[in-house]
Amino acid sequence: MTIEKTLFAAADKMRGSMDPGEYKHVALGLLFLRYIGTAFQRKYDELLPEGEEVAEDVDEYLADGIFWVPEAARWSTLAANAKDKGIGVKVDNAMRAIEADNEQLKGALPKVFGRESLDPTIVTGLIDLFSNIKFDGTPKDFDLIGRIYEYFISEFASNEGKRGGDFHTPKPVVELIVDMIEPMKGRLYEPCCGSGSFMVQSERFLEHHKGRRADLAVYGQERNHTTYGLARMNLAIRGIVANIQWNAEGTLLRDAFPDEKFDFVMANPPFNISDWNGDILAEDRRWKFGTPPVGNANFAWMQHIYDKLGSTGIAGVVMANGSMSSMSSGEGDIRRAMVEAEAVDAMIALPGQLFYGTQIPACIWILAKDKSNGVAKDAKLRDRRGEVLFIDARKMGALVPGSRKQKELSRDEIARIATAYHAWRGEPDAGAYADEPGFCKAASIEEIAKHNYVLTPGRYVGAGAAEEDGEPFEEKFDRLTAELRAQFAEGRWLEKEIEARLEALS
Amino acid sequence: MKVGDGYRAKNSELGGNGLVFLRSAYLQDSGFRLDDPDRFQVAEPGKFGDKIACRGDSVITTKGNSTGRVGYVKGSVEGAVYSPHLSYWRSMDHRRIEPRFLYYWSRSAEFLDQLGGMAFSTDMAPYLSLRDQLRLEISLPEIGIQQGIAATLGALDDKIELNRRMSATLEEMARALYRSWFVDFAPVHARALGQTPAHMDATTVALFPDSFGPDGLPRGWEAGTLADLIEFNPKESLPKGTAAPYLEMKALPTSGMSADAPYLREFTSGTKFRERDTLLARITPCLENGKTAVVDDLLGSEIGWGSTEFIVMRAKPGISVALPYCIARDPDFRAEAIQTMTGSSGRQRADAKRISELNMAIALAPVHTAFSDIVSPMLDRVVAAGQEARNLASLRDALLPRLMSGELRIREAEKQVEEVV
Repeated sequence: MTIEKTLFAAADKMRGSMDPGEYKHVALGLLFLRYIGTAFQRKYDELLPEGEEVAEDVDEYLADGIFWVPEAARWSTLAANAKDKGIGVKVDNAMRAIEADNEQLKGALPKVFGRESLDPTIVTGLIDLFSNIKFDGTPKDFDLIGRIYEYFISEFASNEGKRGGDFHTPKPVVELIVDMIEPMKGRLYEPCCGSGSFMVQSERFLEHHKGRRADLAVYGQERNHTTYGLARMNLAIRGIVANIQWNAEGTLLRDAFPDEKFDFVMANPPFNISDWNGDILAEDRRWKFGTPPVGNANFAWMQHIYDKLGSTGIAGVVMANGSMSSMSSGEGDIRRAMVEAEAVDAMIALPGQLFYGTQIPACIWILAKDKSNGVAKDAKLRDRRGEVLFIDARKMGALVPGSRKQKELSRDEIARIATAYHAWRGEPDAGAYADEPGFCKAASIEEIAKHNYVLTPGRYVGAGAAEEDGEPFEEKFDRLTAELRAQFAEGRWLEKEIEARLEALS
Repeated sequence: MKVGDGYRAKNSELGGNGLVFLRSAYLQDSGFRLDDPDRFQVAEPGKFGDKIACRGDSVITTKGNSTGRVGYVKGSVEGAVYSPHLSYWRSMDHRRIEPRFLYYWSRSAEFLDQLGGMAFSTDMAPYLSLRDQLRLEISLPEIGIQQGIAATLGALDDKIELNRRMSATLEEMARALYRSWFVDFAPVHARALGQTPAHMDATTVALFPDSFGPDGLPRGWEAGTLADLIEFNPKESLPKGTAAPYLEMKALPTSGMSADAPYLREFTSGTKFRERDTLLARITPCLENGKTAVVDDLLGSEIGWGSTEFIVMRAKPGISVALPYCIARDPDFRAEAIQTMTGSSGRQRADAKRISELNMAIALAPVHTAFSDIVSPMLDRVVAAGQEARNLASLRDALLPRLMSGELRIREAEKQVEEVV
């Protein structure tokens, strides 16, 4: 049985007694304890031959980047008491004890296990389940833990519908942005970081490309406190050191890093939010391209992000499709100003059904602080002023096996998009760039002006746009005409039949 | 007669492209609706034994509030696999039981009386067990009479269903034309390439330009907004307390344009509309689900009213009444309308003002006239088909009890019976 199946079976058992969103926090909290407990135990066993005093020395653990786990919070202690009726309270206390000894986890761990509404057998069951998962206590475990985290975050995002989607960007979308902007070294920032999937993914990207973890410093801010806890556990468990901040006002109103500039920004801000305090922020200095409408925060997010970019900074932002074409409330003017000021590097139209719980298609804006230069993987980039790259990926993606609603992009599709972008901006190992009708096009600012600064890639890449549903108009109309003729004939026959039948009634 | 239940499918077996898994939810009062059905991973009919729908089966829902809803298996659902919430009745000897008669019997008073005693006999949710079904008592007339009744009522039902299919075809044609002309500019592209645009006579072809202007639009057309073509929430007055035809949200379909018939209700507050206006649901999840209709049951200049959550779209003078509907059902428009939604999740509403500001290429007036000439009769036929279907259904409902009780007889059948006896 795969780990996903085991977890699903366990979740299924609990589904009746518990809201799935809650179950996720309970299960992930315990998984966190299980992992740091194992890592701790491993180090402990290593140190024990040198004497018990050494093994109980906090500094030995900190030096190795391992969390110090006090006696009462160790997995062995909890597992031994798993059947105890008061196990929930014990787990809560364990969480508090760990936070007390590990400054960087302060406030991040859930303390929801001792509540009366939580059946203690659920905690018992999960402790037994996690005890049976074989952990090593080393980074080797990250693959398994990563899978479990991803399972919970994505599985329950899809169950919770739209709200779940708030804190989870589907993996292929994260991979696409990471592959496009290539955060190799410098400072990475996520203004609304959710569960931290962008950050985790960029660490993976670094490993794939033999970069050094220490070369990338990670910053983030999140408004939802529960999600913030999730992000910190998600990062801590992988040993990623990140500076993540929380405040109730949110990034736009109270920026946790007001004086910082970053080399990379990745974001999937909530779409089209209207309660963003736009009236209070009307005079903000960040609105370089125009004041965003009070009723929609999309362009507030984009200008905030642009403002955070350092001199060669680059950003990938997932946005509602409306942002590419909206003309209302001055959004068209902001878009025009952004294009004219060379803030927009590339636009990618994504297929629909990529996101959990909603069918709506989205797009990616790639913003660049200075298109005349830039560095990617130590190579100097081409001067791209006067041009924007448009990529239409709407026809890409296939249904996730077993799902009727959810699509994903394949590795090859992600690579095709990223390579086109890399080639266009002149990375030496990406090959030569060429427009491809129906897929990509480097359009001049004059061309964009002709389209009234509407940035929908379909308009520029041309071709194929007429065949939205795969059936060309001519064939479709032929088919429909033939069907209609047959239906008319059948109708005439049925009318005669009905008349005869009614005639026969006495 | 054989009575059986459905196949208990595991989640892991579903999600493929194999046989349809016929869920009880697909069985509506109007028959089976398979818009986007669940399918099995593999198509191995052998695995499901006799739980596969056969032409002529009568199907009944056996659990939940829809218990007792019945359907009749024809081509569209033949070969699907029944879910456990459905039971089927299959005539094993068509010389003794006419299958379609069995279906009409399941809509008769005789059956409904027995169902009332069974399905709701416990305090639990309604449930009709196989054992209960085997206890049903059927009065079977002579086979000739059964055949006569089935053929008469069946012809009416077949015509109702045909009307629905015909309307769907007409509608799809109208929407395809709309996209081709106003969104994809296919006739202009064709002319620009020196080709003859498809499905168009020479006079119509001449209405389209043969090149694009610097703004990317067909030459001579203008960049505008929907508000240039459509009036959103036009002002109408209806004094409070006047009884007027009323449409609630429930009445709007998620596909097709015919709403349920309105009923008279004293006006309090809500949206007001006239014949041939398009209604678009603006609140979540109704908008996402595609709830949209064309008002088709009002007389002359009568004013109807409905849910405050409708956006009323009325064609401006010179614009086809079908255009607002074609736009409202267009996937690109719907995606953009959904983008305008604001409000807390669960109570998100689209904004009529922002929708009216969506971009639209404004064609020359003769193009709109030509579109109207082609599409308006299609729309009229759809409306007529809907009205006809309502009449056919009330005729069927009036005949059914009288035929079943023997109060009304079919001469032909009588004669046949006499000949045999």
